[in-house]
Amino acid sequence: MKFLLYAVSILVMSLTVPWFFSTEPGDAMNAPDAGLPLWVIYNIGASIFYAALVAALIHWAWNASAGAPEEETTSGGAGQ
Amino acid sequence: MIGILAQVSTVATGEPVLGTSGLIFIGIYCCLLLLIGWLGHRAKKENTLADFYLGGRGLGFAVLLLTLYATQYSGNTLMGFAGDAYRNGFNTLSIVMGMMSIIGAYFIYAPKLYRLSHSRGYITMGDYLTDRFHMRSLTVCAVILGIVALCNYILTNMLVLGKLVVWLSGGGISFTTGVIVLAVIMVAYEFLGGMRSVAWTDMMQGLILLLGVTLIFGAIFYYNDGVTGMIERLHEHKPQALVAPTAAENREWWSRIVLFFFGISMYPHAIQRVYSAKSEQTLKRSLQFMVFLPLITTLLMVLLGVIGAGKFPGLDKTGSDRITLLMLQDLAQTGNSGLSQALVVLFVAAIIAATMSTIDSALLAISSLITKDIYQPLRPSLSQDQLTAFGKGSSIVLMAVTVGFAIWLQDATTIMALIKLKLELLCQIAPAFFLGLHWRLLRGSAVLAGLLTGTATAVLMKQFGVLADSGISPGLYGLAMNVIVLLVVQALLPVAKRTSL
Repeated sequence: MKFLLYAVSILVMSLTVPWFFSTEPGDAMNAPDAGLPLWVIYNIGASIFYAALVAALIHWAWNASAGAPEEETTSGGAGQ
Repeated sequence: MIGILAQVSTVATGEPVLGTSGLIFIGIYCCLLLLIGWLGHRAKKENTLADFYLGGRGLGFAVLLLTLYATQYSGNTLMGFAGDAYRNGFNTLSIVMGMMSIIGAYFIYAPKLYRLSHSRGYITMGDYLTDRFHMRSLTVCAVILGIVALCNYILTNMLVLGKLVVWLSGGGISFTTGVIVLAVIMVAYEFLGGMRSVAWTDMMQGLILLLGVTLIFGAIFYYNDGVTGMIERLHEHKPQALVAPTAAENREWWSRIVLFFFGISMYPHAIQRVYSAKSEQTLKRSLQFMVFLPLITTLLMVLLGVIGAGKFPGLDKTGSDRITLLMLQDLAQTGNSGLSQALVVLFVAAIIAATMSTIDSALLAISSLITKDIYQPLRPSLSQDQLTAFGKGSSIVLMAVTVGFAIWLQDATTIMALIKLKLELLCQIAPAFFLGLHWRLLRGSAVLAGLLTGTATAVLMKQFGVLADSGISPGLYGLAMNVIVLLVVQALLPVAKRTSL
């Protein structure tokens, strides 16, 4: 289960790259006429989605990632 | 970072950037750092390594969040990112995602590592490696990689600090004096309170950084007609900034994100902050907030650089690294000069804060690695008092050596390529954490073989420019070799006993 979650988060991370909007070198004249380019909006939107996904995973799947039931620990560990 | 060096080194003498009031503000800021250091000393609970290097494992939500934030953003955030965006347009958005990806990496290893660190008393990353793999050579190799990367990190930031002082004072304060004074301040508050002082000063530095970035961007965005004005000027002066990246540029984009994912998440001082959290809830909440912070830091600086590209077209590399200051100077003419002056002071304070918070955290981490992972195993009979005293002494020596190197290298350029190697090295440690924490049969000898192969591959490819045009970082080629060798050696070795961790 946890490996599926890791794979999903890494896949979403990779999909934030604007692969689907790639241009050929020297395509400077293909800039949009007005407003923010679609690929910029896509990237910012995808980045926000990724951030929300990671925040949700940390909230809901923390124990799954830790691989054991939660054992709430507080300050004062055994560290010497 | 190199961009900042180039930028500040162009102004060796001339008019001071800060007036008397600005210099007084910076002076008060430095005094506050010392005061916080002393308060950290007063708050000390015991004279142990855990108290000195992890603040007694008691960092609460606000402190943990802001120390993570201040540590991960250096002066480069304010100067280098905007300059990069000026030159490359919206392609620099890759850095925003890169900074977010670090938290995605924490999600994979921090939950389990945090629990282990509290139940088994880890202080450094070497403690986990020793406990998990029981292989001294692996621990030493990983620790050496961490130290080399952090030394590079400190050195570049020290060079920035020194040149910044020369620039701010118009040459009135020399590089050597500036570096020594700021180094003494950092060592003083770190010596007094260790991680507690560093985290508390990081908190103040993080707030200045956050405030500086948002206010500067807000003012510049407002006086430049927002998104509409930005796009119109780009259409007129730099339409290529609006064009989507090519396939090669997308590969480079992806490579940058992945390098951040595996490299920055392995910073030894970031791992120590995971150990330092007061509770699991504190760590979770801090990371949940951290993942959104690039949207109000990195993204704003990228947009600022893009606005600058439309406003001041035709700048060269050095000029474009100065774009934030140009925008502030422009603000003084078109907007409110009083506001602009205040923002320049805030901007300078934010750069100094970001740079100092990076140096002090890295210095503390190196000191802990030397004391706990290298010195203690050689002298196992030493008491906690003696080890803490050694750790404090090593911080002073390390800082003195770094200051010496910074003064020696202040005008050197050829060595800069070498000290750029940081993330390429750190990401070779990643399999020990990402795989080691979740694969109980993984053996230390397989991890060590992978680490050595990956490091050699990354360094050689970087040095000789192999596949430099591919758009993929040498560090990632090294990491790929690292994992392949790890899997092959693991398959060849007899099946190991499952670790209890």
